[in-house]
Amino acid sequence: MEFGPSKAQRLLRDATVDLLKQSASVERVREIMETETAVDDELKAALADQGALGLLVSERYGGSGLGLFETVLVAQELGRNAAPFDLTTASVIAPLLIEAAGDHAQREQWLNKVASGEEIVAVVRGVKEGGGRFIGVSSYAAGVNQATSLLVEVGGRCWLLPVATQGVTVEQLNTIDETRRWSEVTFDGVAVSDCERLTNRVSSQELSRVAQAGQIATAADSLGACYRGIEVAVEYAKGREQFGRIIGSFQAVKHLCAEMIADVDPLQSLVWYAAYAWDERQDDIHHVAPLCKAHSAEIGYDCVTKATQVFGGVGFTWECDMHLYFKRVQVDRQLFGRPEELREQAAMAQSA
Amino acid sequence: MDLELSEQYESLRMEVRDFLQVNRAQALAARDLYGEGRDRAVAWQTILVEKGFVARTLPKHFGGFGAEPDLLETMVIQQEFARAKLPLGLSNQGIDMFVPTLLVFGTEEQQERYIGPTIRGEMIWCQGYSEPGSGSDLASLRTRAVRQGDRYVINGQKIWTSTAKQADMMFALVRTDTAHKHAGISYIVLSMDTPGIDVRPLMTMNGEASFNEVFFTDVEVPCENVVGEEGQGWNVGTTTLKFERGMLGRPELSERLYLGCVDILERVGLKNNGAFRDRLMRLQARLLAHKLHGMRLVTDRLENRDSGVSSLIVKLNGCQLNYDLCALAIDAMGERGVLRFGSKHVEDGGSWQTTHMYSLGLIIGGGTAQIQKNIISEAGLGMPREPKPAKAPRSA
Repeated sequence: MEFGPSKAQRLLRDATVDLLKQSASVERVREIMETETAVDDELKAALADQGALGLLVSERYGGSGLGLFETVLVAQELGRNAAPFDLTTASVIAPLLIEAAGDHAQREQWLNKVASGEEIVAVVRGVKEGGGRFIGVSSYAAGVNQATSLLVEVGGRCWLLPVATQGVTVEQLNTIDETRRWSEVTFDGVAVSDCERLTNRVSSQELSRVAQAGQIATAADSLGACYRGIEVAVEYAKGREQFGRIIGSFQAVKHLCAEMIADVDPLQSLVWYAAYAWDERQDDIHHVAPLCKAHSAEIGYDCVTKATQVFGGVGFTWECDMHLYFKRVQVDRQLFGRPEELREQAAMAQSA
Repeated sequence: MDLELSEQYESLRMEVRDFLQVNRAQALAARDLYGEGRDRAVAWQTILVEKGFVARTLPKHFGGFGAEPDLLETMVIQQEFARAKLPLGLSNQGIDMFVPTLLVFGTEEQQERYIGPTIRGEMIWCQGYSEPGSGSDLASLRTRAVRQGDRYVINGQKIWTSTAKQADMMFALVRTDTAHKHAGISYIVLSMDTPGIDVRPLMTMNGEASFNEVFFTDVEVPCENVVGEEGQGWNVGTTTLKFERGMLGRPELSERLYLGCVDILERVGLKNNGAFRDRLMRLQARLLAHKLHGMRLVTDRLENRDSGVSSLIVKLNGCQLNYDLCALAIDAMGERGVLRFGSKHVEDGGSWQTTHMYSLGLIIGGGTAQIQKNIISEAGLGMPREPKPAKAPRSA
């Protein structure tokens, strides 16, 4: 038994840490945040080179055939750096849907490109298909800014099309988190026949399984941001002096820090377990995944609130990096279900 | 990440499971070490030691089972007892705190004399640490032990002493030197029937006398009863406290309380109430994280990795979780939740109130939550200690 990452998995994590030190320093992240679409092609290329985009893609389709556990290790480091890349959309949801919906040839064609980073796919929902056309608006679509292609999912049916398709309009939405943009995608009479239809219909069980993976990866993203929030808050508290004392020596301050780590550290164990249970297709995944995401949302909210307060007035400034992690966690909280809904899901899964 | 266990552990699992199934009645009858059922409790505990389910790695000549240390075996045994909703043998300050401390610091003779009877439940211990003037600032303790020839003469008072009435023995911290705060403390064991010891029950908020005050008037104790060297008591005593922190945050009780909550919600017809269910699910998430965290710590120990801050948070989290679980059950019962044991309409014999208050006692006891947060932030996160006041009054 080994609870937590194995030696090989720790090497993967360490390599990601090194990569992000180079490619997603906080200065670099702030630079990218200032740009129009907050897309960092160098970061994407570095992640692709390392194989981080194809962790969930099987080897026969050009990925590394590892699992959600490995993906989650990378997601956590991206969250820790508030890195401008939506890994959950590009490397979890999109490849899982293509895997489930595509036939062999389609998987071969698409998953290779997803794993290599040649294609970055974003997922679009809420669009209707009627009279041979796609009509409708998909609001709050994540990862469209970084995407080359869109995967439209309607009731388990999936189609792929380039983002730059006639009749598709992308309007950027500005969330508080400027490292990962959302978009509103409007379909105005795009011909269904112009899009590549994936052969298989994805069952509702498979769709839930994909959503569970998204929940766990998002929990890991928040977890990383929380750890960094604690790190920077503790570091600040060790340096700042008031009343002739290092503020970190005041119990009012150090107890905030102790509470944060006491909450966040067990969340690490929960995230690892949830990813493992997903990979192993354990029965308890149906309640563990939503509970894990809900717990990360609650713990995350408390943690970034407290961490910001450790900085005092400085924590409220743009210059202080704390708001990057604060916003990361606040946005993650709303993804793949709000905590109350997720706990409801978890309760239902157990009474079923 | 790999949660598979090899065949050897799975067969141990089945052995424990079968054993508990066959002997369930005896296990249930063996719960009252401190009252009428003491003989039954000792008999059951003795069987558990013989089977190697408790005191598994303790050497045979000290009365243990003598197995090689194997954390996974211990974990499997714990899991099976939890699954059967049975306590894993006796849990008290002698077994969980004193014995591990004695294994580190005791002389061979002390180990042979005390360990066997203690683990079988024949010898009950209480802990003499806190004093009226020395709670969180334990090292300021003043109970004085003055050396006279081959014995110490002890005068002073201890407080919050659990099971002092039932105990045969006490392990205590006493002051052997008034010139040095920490280096003036010694760790000593003494028999509770030594003349000059007066135990007075302390009624706690839940109506139980689970604590006592213990008064010492010219209590004579042989010098050989010191554990470690004279003046080394702080080091020895804080080792004991580390074991206490481990004991107080264990998830088995939390798990039992959680299942109790599920049962209460069902009984009072709130199982499908959204608000209560939400609260239950929040607690389930915390319990799950707490339990899994324990497995992570086991892995760290297997790999000889320092768990750092991860091991320091267990007591804080576990005790708060127990308290919050009891609170949910009480709220679900509404008016019935605040009925006291013995009252008409009371559910579960009033145990939820008793446990709720007792859990609050444990948030405070064994190092208050605030002291835990000091330890977590200082030892775990490397934050600076509170500076000492410029002119600290000399202790003792």
